[in-house]
Amino acid sequence: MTEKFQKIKEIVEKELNQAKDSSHDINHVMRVYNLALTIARQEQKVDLDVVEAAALLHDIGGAKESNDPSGQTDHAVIGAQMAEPILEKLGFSSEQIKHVQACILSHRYRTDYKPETTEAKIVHDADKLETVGAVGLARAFSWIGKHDAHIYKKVDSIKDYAKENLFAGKINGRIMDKSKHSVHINYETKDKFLLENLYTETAKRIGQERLTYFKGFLDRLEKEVSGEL
Amino acid sequence: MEKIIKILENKIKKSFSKEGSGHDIYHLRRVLNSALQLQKKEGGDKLVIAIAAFLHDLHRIIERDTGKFCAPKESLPKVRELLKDLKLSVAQKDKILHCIAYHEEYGFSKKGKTVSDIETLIIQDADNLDAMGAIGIGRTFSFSGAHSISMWIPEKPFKRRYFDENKKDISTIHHFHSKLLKLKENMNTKTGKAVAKQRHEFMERFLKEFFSEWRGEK
Repeated sequence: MTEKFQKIKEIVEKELNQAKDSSHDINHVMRVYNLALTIARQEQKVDLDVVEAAALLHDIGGAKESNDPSGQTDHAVIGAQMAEPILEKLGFSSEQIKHVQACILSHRYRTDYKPETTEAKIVHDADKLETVGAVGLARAFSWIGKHDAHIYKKVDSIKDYAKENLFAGKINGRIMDKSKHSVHINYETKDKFLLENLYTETAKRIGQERLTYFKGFLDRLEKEVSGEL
Repeated sequence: MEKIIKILENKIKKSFSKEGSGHDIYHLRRVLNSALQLQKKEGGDKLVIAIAAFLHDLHRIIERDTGKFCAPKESLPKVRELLKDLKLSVAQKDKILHCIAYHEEYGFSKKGKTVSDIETLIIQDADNLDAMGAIGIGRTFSFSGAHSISMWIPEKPFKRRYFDENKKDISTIHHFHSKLLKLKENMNTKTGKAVAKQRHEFMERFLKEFFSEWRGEK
């Protein structure tokens, strides 16, 4: 990592320390950064400076969002604003700055901004891959503990569950009572559709591998819990 | 037997509902299941094992409610009270109390192990198994999430020599090294050791996967 990006990393780390959220801390940022570079190496004509800067800055608005009790702050929107002066100071061109901002805006799931450029797609995909694999499991179970939800729970009908606990009864609706959720349920309602939401071929391949590992883990967990030794 | 467990469950369910440290009623059920599986192969008094497995963690509730450290032994008055109306011999009740008092021994702690009766050995094994494999991984990350502990702090070495239940690990991965990866050496029964071996290997594969993802390699 060159000095320029080291500097960005330090700024982001300081900002994210303003909120206690272990699933969006500097370690998450660095994993996304490393994975984005892995994906970028497989893609043609990529502006690596943009990928590196955008990966490091993609969650810089995270602390502001989680510290706003009104829920009005969108970390992607505020993050794109915060990125501008940082990049200006480090000598990025105004074109590159706009590009990085677009990457930050479009990394978020379910926003109006869709990733248009290869760079934006790479950052988006690297971030989404954090929900699966061993790291995805670690993050998922941390979430479970934080919200006093179930380490193991399966439901007979996902449809019925959605009706009862997901917003508007939709399978991709927001979770209403988090303590009723589980990793198995999240797999059925969200994680297993991951590949549909990825753009690059490399991310799809990695995603498939991580998803297979994730599912294998959940199957094993089910067996262990049922007392099968 | 299931009837007795049901009676006990109704009595303790409420106090275990906001347990918060991964020793909830589901943990008790799992330890009970595993202990019964071990009993099938290893022998011992089935009823004693089932009841001891189900009541082994009451000290955690006392600890939560008083905010002070509580050794398993200190939960025995509460256990006695729960056993009072059950049709058990005096010898069986004594065995149950013994199992609970000594269920938390680690060969890799300074004190080491002291018990030799099959019932206690089985309870220790079943309790250890619930901290290993996929369930062990799920529980430890869940605990970290509930207590805002980092997943991993790569800069800090794994240096603790003796395991100490009262000392907190600085990250979840550190906890694997101070405790979870050592449990395989802490098993008593032949059956328990065989299951622990599989769960240990599963944890090692998990860590390998975790680290290569951490570095963004795949």
